[in-house]
Amino acid sequence: MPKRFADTAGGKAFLLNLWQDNPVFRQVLGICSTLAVTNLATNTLFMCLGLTFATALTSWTCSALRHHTPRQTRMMVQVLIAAAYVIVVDIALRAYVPDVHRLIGPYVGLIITNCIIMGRAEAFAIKNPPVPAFLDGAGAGLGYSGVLLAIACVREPLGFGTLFGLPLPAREAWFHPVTIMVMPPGAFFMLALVSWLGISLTARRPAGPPKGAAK
Amino acid sequence: MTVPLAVTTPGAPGGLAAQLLIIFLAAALTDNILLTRFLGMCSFLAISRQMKTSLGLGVAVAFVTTVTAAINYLVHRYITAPLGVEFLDLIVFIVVIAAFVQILEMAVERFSPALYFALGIFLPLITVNCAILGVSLFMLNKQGYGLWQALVYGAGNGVGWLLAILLMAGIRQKLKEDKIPAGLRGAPITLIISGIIALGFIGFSGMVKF
Amino acid sequence: MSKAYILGFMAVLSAVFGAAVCGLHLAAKPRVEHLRQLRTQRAWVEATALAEAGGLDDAAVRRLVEEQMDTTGTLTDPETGRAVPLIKAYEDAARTRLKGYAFPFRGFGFWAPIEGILGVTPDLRRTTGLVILEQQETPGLGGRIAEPIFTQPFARGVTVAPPVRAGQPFLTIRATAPDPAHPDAARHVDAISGATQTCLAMEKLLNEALAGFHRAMAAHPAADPQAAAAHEGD
Repeated sequence: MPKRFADTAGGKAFLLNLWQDNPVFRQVLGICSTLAVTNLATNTLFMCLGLTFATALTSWTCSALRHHTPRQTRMMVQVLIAAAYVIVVDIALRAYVPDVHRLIGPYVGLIITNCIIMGRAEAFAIKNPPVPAFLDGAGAGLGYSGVLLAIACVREPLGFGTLFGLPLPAREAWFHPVTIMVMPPGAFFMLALVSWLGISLTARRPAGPPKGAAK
Repeated sequence: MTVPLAVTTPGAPGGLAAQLLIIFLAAALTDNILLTRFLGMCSFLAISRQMKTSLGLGVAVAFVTTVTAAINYLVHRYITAPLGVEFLDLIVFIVVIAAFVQILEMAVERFSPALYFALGIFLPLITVNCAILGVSLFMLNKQGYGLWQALVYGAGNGVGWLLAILLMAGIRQKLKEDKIPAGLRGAPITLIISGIIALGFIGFSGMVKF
Repeated sequence: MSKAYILGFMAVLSAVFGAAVCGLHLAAKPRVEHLRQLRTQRAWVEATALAEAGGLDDAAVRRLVEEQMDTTGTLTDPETGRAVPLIKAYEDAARTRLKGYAFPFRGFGFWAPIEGILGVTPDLRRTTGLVILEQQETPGLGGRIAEPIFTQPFARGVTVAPPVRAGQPFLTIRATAPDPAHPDAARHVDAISGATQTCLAMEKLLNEALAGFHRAMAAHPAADPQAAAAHEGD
């Protein structure tokens, strides 16, 4: 079964976005939120869930409307759809799980302006049917999540001595706060290291140039 | 009556022109939106490879930021706030920005095809340049801003973004001749340089109160 | 595609999504308001240290507010003309022994407005608690103002009596602790490292709120004889 999933258009896009064409280190998208949220792993996790949800649904909707959307207004259509989904998520969280809303509330604006949503809509959804588009969006969201969580799992232990808010073993013995890891410049350096690793690992396999990357 | 030592009333000294100048300088330099708040990073990393395209994108961003800050100020002041639908601000702001970028895209395609192809996918992505939406949203938080202040605040932030990307483009042009490990070329080395510049700029943040 | 089609398409799309968002907003509004009210009541209880609000359920918090709090009062700051809501907390249900006051504050942080409740003792000299209701500061940095690491000193009591010299702050939020022998050492709160901007904003807005609150209390001696008497003594 997995082989057949990977052979479908959607499955292929899903898997490519997870690793080979990873939105963060291959396509260099969604960097602002990467810098802002990755100092605490719990926040990162919620942000990633929100983003994956919004990207997948926006791609699906843009794709469903692709034959009716005038080319001249496609960007407005994309942001309108993305913004609507994000506000819906915001209101639903606020009304039903206020504790989660308090955690991810500040990121909602960041989700709308996350270039991954529009990057995937522009590069894939406007040319493909809804189901593959949905999978493409979900893959991009999860690929992004993987990189962010990896960064958060370094920054939080070094900056706070905790992981997902829980103190690490023998914290008192070794922990000394590395403030730069808490602050945004720490994210720049961590992201550079993770990108270096990701680019080096993905470059070994000959799979052609990454799509959607900057020229 | 005793006079307090520090007067922090916004815009009290020097009249409107002085206040606008302070807003502009603070927004462009000490509170640089890219280097102190890290907004608008995606296009910054992707486009700063060459001086010429950086200038093109920077001017476009500065222009869009200035105009949309003013439009969004008016939209908030005269439409969403009186109707009590501030929760729609976000969606309205982003649609205003998208519409404006779409118009700009058509204009660039028509008048400068070379720039249009050089900017590629990143011209549409100005729409989701968080710096532009960020400026419109931060403007609402500033106390006592009128249309002039909003316009100048937008322009200051836009020019600040332009300066930052030109700075990076200049550094990256020099880097071309240096030996850098293959995997670090492009975005990773740019991130490291941005991190170092950002460390410096964090020291400036909030230096001018406005 | 014709211009009419483009305009029509955008109009229909905007209408559909706009209506969906507005509809959802209106549908969720009563629930959101209810949750907000519960949270505010919990904040009053916590700020005045009436009980460990964390261990109480919603009904218990509501009962405590109804029985031991007077939330109807509003003062006016004579200098700015702004209304200052005043919450009084009593030790007993008969409302004879005053436990303390709480008042809301609001101001601008590094990214967006910060809203919260500050509680003070009846003599207005020490804080009894601080609760941040709304903030959108950088998560993990400025965002920690809502966490115990920042709010606990306020629950333990920070001195916020009117300063002896004019122009001096009620309290300071700094990274370096002053010499314990310094007369103003009790006014010091530890800043969050790496969140200088948010902490400066908090210092400014808390001092402004305290100044307004003291002015309003002084202008309304009838608000509470006990407090007025304490104020006279300064």
